[in-house]
Parts: sequence; structure tokens; C-alpha cells
Amino acid sequence: MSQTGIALDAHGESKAKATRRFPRRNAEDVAFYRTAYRIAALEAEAFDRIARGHEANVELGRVFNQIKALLRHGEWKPYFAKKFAPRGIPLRTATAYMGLAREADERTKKADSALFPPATDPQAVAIREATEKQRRDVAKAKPESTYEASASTESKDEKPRTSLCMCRLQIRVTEKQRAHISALWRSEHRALADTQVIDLLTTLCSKYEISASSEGE
Amino acid sequence: MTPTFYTEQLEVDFKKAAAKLEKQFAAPTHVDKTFDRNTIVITPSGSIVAVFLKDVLDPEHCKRVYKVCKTVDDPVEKRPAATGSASLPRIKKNGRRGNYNVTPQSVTKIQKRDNVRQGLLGAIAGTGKRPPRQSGLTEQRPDLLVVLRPLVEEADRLFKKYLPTYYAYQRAEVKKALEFRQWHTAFSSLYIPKNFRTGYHQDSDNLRGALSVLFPLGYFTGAELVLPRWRRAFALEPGDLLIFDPQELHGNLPIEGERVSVVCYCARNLSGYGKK
Repeated sequence: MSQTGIALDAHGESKAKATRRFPRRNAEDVAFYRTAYRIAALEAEAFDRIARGHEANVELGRVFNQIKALLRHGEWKPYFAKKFAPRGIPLRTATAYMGLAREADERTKKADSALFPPATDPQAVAIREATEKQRRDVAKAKPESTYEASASTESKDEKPRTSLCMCRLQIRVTEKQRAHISALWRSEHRALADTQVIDLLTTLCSKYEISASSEGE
Repeated sequence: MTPTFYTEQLEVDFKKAAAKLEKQFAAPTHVDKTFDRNTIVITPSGSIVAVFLKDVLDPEHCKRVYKVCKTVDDPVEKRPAATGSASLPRIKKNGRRGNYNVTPQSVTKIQKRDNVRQGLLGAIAGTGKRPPRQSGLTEQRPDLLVVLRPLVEEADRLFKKYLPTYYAYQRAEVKKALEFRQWHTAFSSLYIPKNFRTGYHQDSDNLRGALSVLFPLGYFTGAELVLPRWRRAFALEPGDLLIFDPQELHGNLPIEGERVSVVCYCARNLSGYGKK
């Protein structure tokens, strides 16, 4: 045969009829036809189960679940109305069967973790142990605080930065008092009032001998 | 001659159980079936998980490429999930805990002892404020690209032949960033792990919805690629080629011998990075 696909006779002359080349299937075509065949097979199975009555409801639900997974988004309801509703199965009943099948499958899937035991080869064990050791070391190690890290690089003349945090006090007050406090907090005197409240609270702490070390005792 | 394909229709999905396996190592007990022939693996929803092509690459060429590729020498410490360990804070020399998470030093030592190395040619995906860029190895080792070119182009041809729709999507994406395109292929990057027995991981830097093409080189046994979600594995040997979905959790069984593999993929965020 010549390179152009035309068959040649013994004398090298081309025959009148060119050889036909059939398109070869690629993986996507195989997947497409496979899916189509599978839907057809599952349809047949579903019809079979309908014929057997309600004893196989869960199995029927499982088959419906599989068909639904193979269809595109939004295709299930029209497909069901066309294929299975004429056989006397309403969509709601089918949905109930599908739910039963999912529940049954969920029970078996709970045992799945037993199917994946940890690897026991030397390399896997060594890396797992090394990771665990590091985890333990990290838990023991003190954190590198931002202040300590920056203090080592800053000059000693600079004042150390102190981080501020919010303190919410739950104090019972009347509506009128709360309105006054809110008004004060909105006014320009807020900064001064804020400092005075902190001073008062600090004085109360020292009066009642409350220190940071007594916390949690 | 068109090869004969075995079609594997998957029915049971172990998605929930497999999701907990990330950063763990694959074990032979995680596999129900291992493929060592031309296979198309199809999920219950009809999509393709992998296409395994047996003996499609020239063995002599594979040997030549292997001799060059085994010289890659970058450490694998920036891939904690793939090394099979958690990413943990570093312990500094002063004994304090660092602020950033890294692969544990002890794990890095084990990887170094086992001569686990890697190399990345081509584009690095754009992440955060960093735009996509060419890897350092691309500049340093042009010889690697020259040697790899015939095999990568053959892999590209097979990808196009067997998965034309996926190929078209991927090529369209890579054509948007021509500066990162590897020759006239649908790939932007070539990842070369050496003796790297990976823990279960997903490839995060890949273009979403695109497939990766993998072919191993060297002299080894084992190193089957395991997809725990489907409990299936692929026994790849030099000359074989696997086209698979890198977003599926995957990892390797233990390797005996020396193995270098080449993973051809399209990195994400290559074009229009930072534009709104």
C-alpha cells in the first residue's frame, strides 16, 4: 500500500478503489460509549427490579443512584419522567428508595477506614516516627515571641513595645448609667476616662491583693 | 497498530476514607487491583481517572534521558505533604519554636540519606503576590531540556491521540502564556523527582481540570502509583506512560533501586496573573 492509502497492484499501479480507513476510537470515545452502555445496562437492571416488586427497593435505589451519577446536572428528573415514571414509579418513591440505598451504603462505608491501615515498610515507619518526634519537640519548645525576637536586634535605648489587648468587664448598670457611659465613650474625654478607669481598676487590684500569679488558683 | 485497551469501570468510591489518608504512605493493602497493561480507568460518573499506556516510549531513549535526569539535585523539603510528613514549626538553634511551618528537619535528613532529590523545569505557578516565573533549574540546566524534548513531545502526541478533549483544553490554557510553553506541547512544566517515594498528596500547582502525564526512568522495582480513592495502582516501568488526574489523591509504594520520573503538566495561574 502506498503512503497515501491507495492500494497498489503487483506492477505498482494503483487500483481504482482506495482503501477505507476507519476512525480509531480514542480514550474519550471509549469512555463515552462505555457510559452509554452502562446506562443501558442499568436501565435493564432497574426494569428487572421493578418487575420483581418491592422486595428489592434498596437495590433499585442503588441502581437509580448510579444512573443519576452518570447523567449530567439537571438531567435526572426529565430522564426519570421519560424512562421510569411510565412504569408506575413516582419520582418521590424513587427518591425514597435512593435515600434507603444511601443509608445502607453509608453503614458499610463506615468500616472503610479499616481498609487503609498505615504502611509498615521501614521508610514509612522512619518518617512517621521522625514526624511524631518533631511534633513532641514542637510541643515542648517555647514560642519565639515577636517582642523577644525584635529586642535582640533593637538598640537598648528604645522603649520596649507592650502589646495591648481588649478587656471586657461585665458590670450590671441601669439603662440611664449605660447611656451616660456610652455618651462619655463617644466624647473627646474618652482617652482620659479610659486611663482613669484602668488606674482605678489597678488600685482595686492592689487593694484586694490580686496579682497575675494568683490567677487560676 | 492500535493497541488493545482494557477498560476498568470503577464502581466503589472510597472518597471519605481516602480523604483522611493525606500525608500518609501508601501500603500494598490499600490496593485491590494493580494494572500492568493498557488500561482506561473510568469512574462511576463516567469521567476518566487515568489512561495507562504500556511500552510506548523508546527504551534506548529512556536510558539516555535517565542518565541525564538522575543528576537533578534539589532537596524536596518544600513538599511536606508529598514527603509523607506534617508541616510543623521549625525548632531553632536556641531551642525555641519558629514562626513558620516547614518539613521536619529529621524527615529531611532521612530523605537526604535515601538520595531523594527533585528538579523542576519550566514554569512555577503564581501564588499569592508572586507571579508565575521560570524555575531556576530551567536557566541552570538547558541540557536537561534538550535531552528531554523528544520524550516529552512523544508524550504530548500520545496525550493528544488518546485524550483529545482534555488535550485541547490544556493546550488552549498554555497557549495563553506562550513564554512558559514547552516547545509546541500542552505542557508548561516538567517535574523530575528522583527516588521520591511520595506520601498521599494532590498536586496543588496544576491547572484545575487538566491531566498530568508521567513516565518513569531508571532501574527499579516497586514504586507503583496508588489511587487510594479507587483502591487501584499502576505498575509503571521505563517505557510506560500514565496520563492521570493529579487532583486525585495519589502516592507511591516503596521503591527498590534508582528511579527518576518525569511529570509533564500545565501549571495554574500562568496567564492574566494579578489582573482583574
